[in-house]
Amino acid sequence: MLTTRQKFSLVLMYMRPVLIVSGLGTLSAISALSVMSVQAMKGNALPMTILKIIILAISTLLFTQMSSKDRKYFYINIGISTKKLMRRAIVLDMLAYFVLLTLTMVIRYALN
Amino acid sequence: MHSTEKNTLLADSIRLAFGTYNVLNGAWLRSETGKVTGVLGRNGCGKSCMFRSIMGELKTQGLFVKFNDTVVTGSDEMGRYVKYMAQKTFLPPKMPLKQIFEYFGADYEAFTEDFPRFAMYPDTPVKELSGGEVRIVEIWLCLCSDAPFCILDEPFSYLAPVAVEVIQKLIRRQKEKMGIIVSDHNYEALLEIADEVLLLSDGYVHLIKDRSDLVRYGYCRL
Repeated sequence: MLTTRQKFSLVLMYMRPVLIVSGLGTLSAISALSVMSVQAMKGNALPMTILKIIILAISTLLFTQMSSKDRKYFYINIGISTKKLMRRAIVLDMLAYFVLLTLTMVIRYALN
Repeated sequence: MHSTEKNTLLADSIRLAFGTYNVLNGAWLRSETGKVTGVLGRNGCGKSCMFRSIMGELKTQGLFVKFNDTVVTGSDEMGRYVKYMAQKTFLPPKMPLKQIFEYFGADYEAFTEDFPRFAMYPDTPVKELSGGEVRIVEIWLCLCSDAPFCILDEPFSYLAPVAVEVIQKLIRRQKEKMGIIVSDHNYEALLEIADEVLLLSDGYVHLIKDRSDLVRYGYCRL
């Protein structure tokens, strides 16, 4: 039976290319929003989030098409579904994005 | 999951097509504890496709898989019953061997008893091993897992004749605990260990009784 830490490591290992691309998308979106005025930030938060989701969707799609099919058997053989790993990575990535977005907005409001 | 009870695995009515090209036309495969099933076939005849279909990784036009009396669907469930060694390496290149064994719940010490030279490699990442050494690790992990079945796709590739003999010995030992399906183009080595031989030809599976059948189906010459 795998521990939670092992499962988390597997998510990061399997989905690393997607998480790197999407993470860069997150950082770019948050950086752009953080330099805007509070009013502009409110207006641009939704389009930025949509853009971020599109980046995540495209990178995930490319990953599923281009990743090694044989590498999958490492995860299948240890009893982990690659679909589950993908779902967990997407949740993790979006969670990180919303936490950062919320923090940025709270800080910007506090500074205003 | 290893036990003294006899388990059976049956994959039947496997139909697979890529566009208009039919790869498998109702192929079948069976295995049971205590038996080694050899699968032969020319290059590109669909052996690996058949294994991938069984593992739930290829979308087939028809497939029926049964473990004992339970119908199995999808790769999640299959992973519990069958360990599959693909043709190309499936081990993460940067991961040290000992960590891989931890993920598989396998004992590295037991592995080094079978292959003593690996005693110095526990912290070595996979990418620093030779192709043959990686193959040995993969074969051992699949064969010595607690799954009731194991599919080895070309296990003798990249291996020196001495290593082939060691793997044959390991297969003979492990078949007491599990059902083993082996496919390889080194058919002499495969015939030495197989209790039942199947030949995949034109999308159909034929049961082979002797070498003359292999000649008859155009797999080899006398």
